[in-house]
Amino acid sequence: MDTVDARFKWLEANGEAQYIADRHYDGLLEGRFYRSTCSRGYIKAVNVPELPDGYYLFSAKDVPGTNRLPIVVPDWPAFADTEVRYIGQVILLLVGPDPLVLEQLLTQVSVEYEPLTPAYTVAQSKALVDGAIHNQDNLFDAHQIDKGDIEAGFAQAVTIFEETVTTGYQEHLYLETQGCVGYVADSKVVIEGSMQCPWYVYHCMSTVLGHQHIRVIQAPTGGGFGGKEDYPNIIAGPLAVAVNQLRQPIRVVLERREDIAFTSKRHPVEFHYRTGVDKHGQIVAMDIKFDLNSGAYFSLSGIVLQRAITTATNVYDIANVRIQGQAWCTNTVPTGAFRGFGSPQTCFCIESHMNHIAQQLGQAPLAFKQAHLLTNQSTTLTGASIFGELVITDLIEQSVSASQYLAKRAAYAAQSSQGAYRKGIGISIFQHGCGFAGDLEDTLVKAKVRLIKDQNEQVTILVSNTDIGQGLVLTFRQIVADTLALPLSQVDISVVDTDSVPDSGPTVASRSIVIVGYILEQAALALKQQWQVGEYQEIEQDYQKPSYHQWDQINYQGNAYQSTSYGVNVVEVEVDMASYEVKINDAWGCYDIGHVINEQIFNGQIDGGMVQALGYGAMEKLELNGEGVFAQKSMADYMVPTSLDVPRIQRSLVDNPYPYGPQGAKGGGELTHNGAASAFVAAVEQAVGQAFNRIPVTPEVIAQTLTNEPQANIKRIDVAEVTNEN
Amino acid sequence: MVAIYRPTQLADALAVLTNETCTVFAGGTDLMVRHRVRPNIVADFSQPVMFIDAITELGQIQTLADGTLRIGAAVTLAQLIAHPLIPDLLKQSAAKIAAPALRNRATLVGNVCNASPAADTLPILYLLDAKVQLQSCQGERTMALTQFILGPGQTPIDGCELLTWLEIPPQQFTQTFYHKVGTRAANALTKVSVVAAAQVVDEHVLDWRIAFGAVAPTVVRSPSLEQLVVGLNVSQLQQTHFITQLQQQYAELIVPIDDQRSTAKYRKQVALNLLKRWLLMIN
Ligand SMILES: Cc1cc2nc3c(=O)[nH]c(=O)nc-3n(C[C@H](O)[C@H](O)[C@H](O)COP(=O)(O)OP(=O)(O)OC[C@H]3O[C@@H](n4cnc5c(N)ncnc54)[C@H](O)[C@@H]3O)c2cc1C
Repeated sequence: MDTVDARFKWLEANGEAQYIADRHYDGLLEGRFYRSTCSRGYIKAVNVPELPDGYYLFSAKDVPGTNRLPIVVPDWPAFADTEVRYIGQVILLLVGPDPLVLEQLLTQVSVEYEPLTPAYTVAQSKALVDGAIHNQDNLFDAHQIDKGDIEAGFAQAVTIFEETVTTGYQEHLYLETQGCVGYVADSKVVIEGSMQCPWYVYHCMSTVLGHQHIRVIQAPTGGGFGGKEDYPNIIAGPLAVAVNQLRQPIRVVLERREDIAFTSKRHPVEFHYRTGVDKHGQIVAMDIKFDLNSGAYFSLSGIVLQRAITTATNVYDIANVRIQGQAWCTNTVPTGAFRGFGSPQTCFCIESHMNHIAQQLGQAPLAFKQAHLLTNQSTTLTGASIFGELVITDLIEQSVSASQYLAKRAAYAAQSSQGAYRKGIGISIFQHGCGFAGDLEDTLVKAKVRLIKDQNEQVTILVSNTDIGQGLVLTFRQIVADTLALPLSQVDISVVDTDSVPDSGPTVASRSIVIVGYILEQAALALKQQWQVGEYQEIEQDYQKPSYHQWDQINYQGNAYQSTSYGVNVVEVEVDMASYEVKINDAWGCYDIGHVINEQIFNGQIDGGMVQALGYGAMEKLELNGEGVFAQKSMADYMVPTSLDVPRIQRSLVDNPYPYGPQGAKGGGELTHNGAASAFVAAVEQAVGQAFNRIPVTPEVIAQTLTNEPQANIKRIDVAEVTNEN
Repeated sequence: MVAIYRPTQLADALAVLTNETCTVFAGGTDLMVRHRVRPNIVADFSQPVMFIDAITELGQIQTLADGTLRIGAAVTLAQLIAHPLIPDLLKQSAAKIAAPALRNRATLVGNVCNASPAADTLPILYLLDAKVQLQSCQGERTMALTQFILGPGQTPIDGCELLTWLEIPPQQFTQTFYHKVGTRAANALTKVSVVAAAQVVDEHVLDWRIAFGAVAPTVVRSPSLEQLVVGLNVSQLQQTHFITQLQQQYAELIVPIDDQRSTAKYRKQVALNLLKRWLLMIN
């Protein structure tokens, strides 16, 4: 068992870490995918050139096991066999020693298709031209939640607001592109790769190969953000087939353009709100319908859908709600996991909708939101009582006072409408459920951790959760060292290798600290009690659901998540009214993640998450062209913020220990991406005096809104009027 | 594999070019993108490559007796930004190109020869009436930059010629303006850029210029429209009807495109807005 270098991030910082692309193996072959050039159709013929000696081609025919990757549901083929569903889908894997020869051979492959009319958007998916891509109706998944009595709620309304709010695709743009290497060692097919979830890769390999002489090792991973949850399977499936057959080391590393074009993206979503407000200005009913564009295969869409549904009313206590969410199959790159998993979309849309209603009612957005906040006495959207203390009002207070939000909001409201530069300030309030949705931690994941103490009193942590840059290896060691009252140097952590670590679940869903960290703390407590000097000891510990946690996965009733973290963001901008460029002058982030274990590491999450969210709201434009591929092809086209695009972020925390988390911690990795896009857009709205109902709000979008007839995004219906008409 | 030359003397470089057609390689920051295949695969150059970075003579920045500034073909953007003789507008635009690592390699002359519609230094060099000097074994010729840039990626340079020097005549301005609208604050390609300069004495406009980048196949600068402004009083420039009229005249020359980074409509609107901003700034 190899352990991670105890000098935290030392090898990465020095350039000594061996990422997949840096590796050397004797007899290493390179692998390249031949990808579909057709969005939708049947494969009629595959024409391949004669291969030089030492070059090999693999296709669906070579799969010894099952040609379907088990990612939630087994629908995504390792190699496309009869049909293709999107441009970029893997049809063949070409393997050989010389990358240049592979490059040339790829140009000589041709595939004949019988094309069908593709569907790229949800609307096209619903239209079912040339029949359904998936099942009979293209609907991957659908759910509904009803809270209270929606009709009775609308009956109290004097005004109804209807609005559609949408979000676009987002690309992860991790520093290191996707890559895996495979080889045979001790008669096992081994895959090492840049990945978040080695056990997922293990299950995919065993399905495709039909045997379990396999092993998966996480290589140093240069960022993931969710992008290395499903996609490493897409590489490892075909790669395992080739390694299994050739018994030689083979590596597949995606080039940046290939990575941008063909790996999973954040789901675009379209929310339709119908919100009733009573004569006191209080929301009495909310009817929410939304659609997710899931792309060609199901992947993680079901769980993204569940999160988007169960958190659709964000931090607000609305008495009567109906939510209907649907995930649609289209002929685009499958959308998958991305930091927040449906929540950044939900938070942006509901926060914007709340802002716009407030504006319509002539109320201040913050006051309007405050009048609807969840309290300790509230019943959640999914019918549970609030567990623990809510500190949302403290978060708001702290943010408002640090940013001087109210004074600035008033001052900017009074600024001249003719100024060359106009300022604005916006605030967002948000939450994030930590761990797998519902009680899937208990019914599905069943995480297990192991601690080993050797005769020299050195302790090693064995878990399958990966450090992908977020600093997990240090926080885990700290949890165990603190519990055992040992110096950090006496606690190591194993490299994630399926030959040695138990399955403590994937590194997703802000679960590593609150779920796995807590099991580790329990294991360390057990070890402490049983500690025998000079003896080798092993402790295994399983996840146990806290007794308060009740969940009905069929009806979505109970505690939607084991725990929830909260945050408030404030963003201040200045818009150049000639170029419509937006300068972000200041940004504040205040969070309740229970109790923070390592503040420096969490600060990294705040900075990174907020920058990523500001990019999402302001500039990360990723659009499909007419052929169903992204128009933005490289890092020169797809814009993520640089350090000059964002200010120094001002961070703070409210301590609110959670009894079932390690040292009182909850999750925080995704939370930090949920709020900044909405605070940014709210600030731009104040600056330019127009409402926006989609992100990203680029300078082009601002220009269009200011120079055209501004569209009335939100429709206001006076109920009395409607009655008169009837 | 192709032949490689890395002369240290200009004469040797010109001799090489007389004998065979080479790809002239300055910083290589455009060339390496253009000829890239994939990471870990050698760039695909079909012709012999001649590096010019070792020609010390061309690494210089000089002032001639008449005040003309000469910038050699091997001068990097980083050198340019650090040099005391370089006009501030040129420094501003160079400093907005990419990031420090790239500016340590990329040259000004490479930016010119690449002749991209979005090249950042071109609008400034147009504005400053820059000239280019082309040299070959047969001799040399000097021409205005406006004659050198024929279209996107197109120049009249002959296979045996090297662009050796870029020349900027001496000139005086009392006010300048530069605004690059990039895709973001740094390491950004240009969506639209506007550069302008004026000489105003006692509210009297003696010189007035403006150039627009990335809004047409080549930089937009119009001597005839500039003549409409020269000779006026500052207050006349700032009258609404004058501004509107000038915007309309420039609008005919500004013919941008839609692409993955921006839209034609936006580029045009912003170019005209910045023209107005510049007019209102003059005092
Ligand atoms: C990441 C990145 C960001 C960039 N950002 C910007 C930006 O913001 N703004 C911008 O304007 N550009 C940008 N560029 C483009 C490029 O860096 C510039 O155009 C640069 O100035 C080119 O200079 P170079 O010395 O590297 O040219 P090279 O690549 O060496 O040459 C460019 C062309 O000019 C020819 N050439 C060079 N020197 C001579 C000579 N003396 N005689 C004859 N022909 C010659 C070459 O043969 C080639 O065709 C960027 C490029 C990259 C890779």
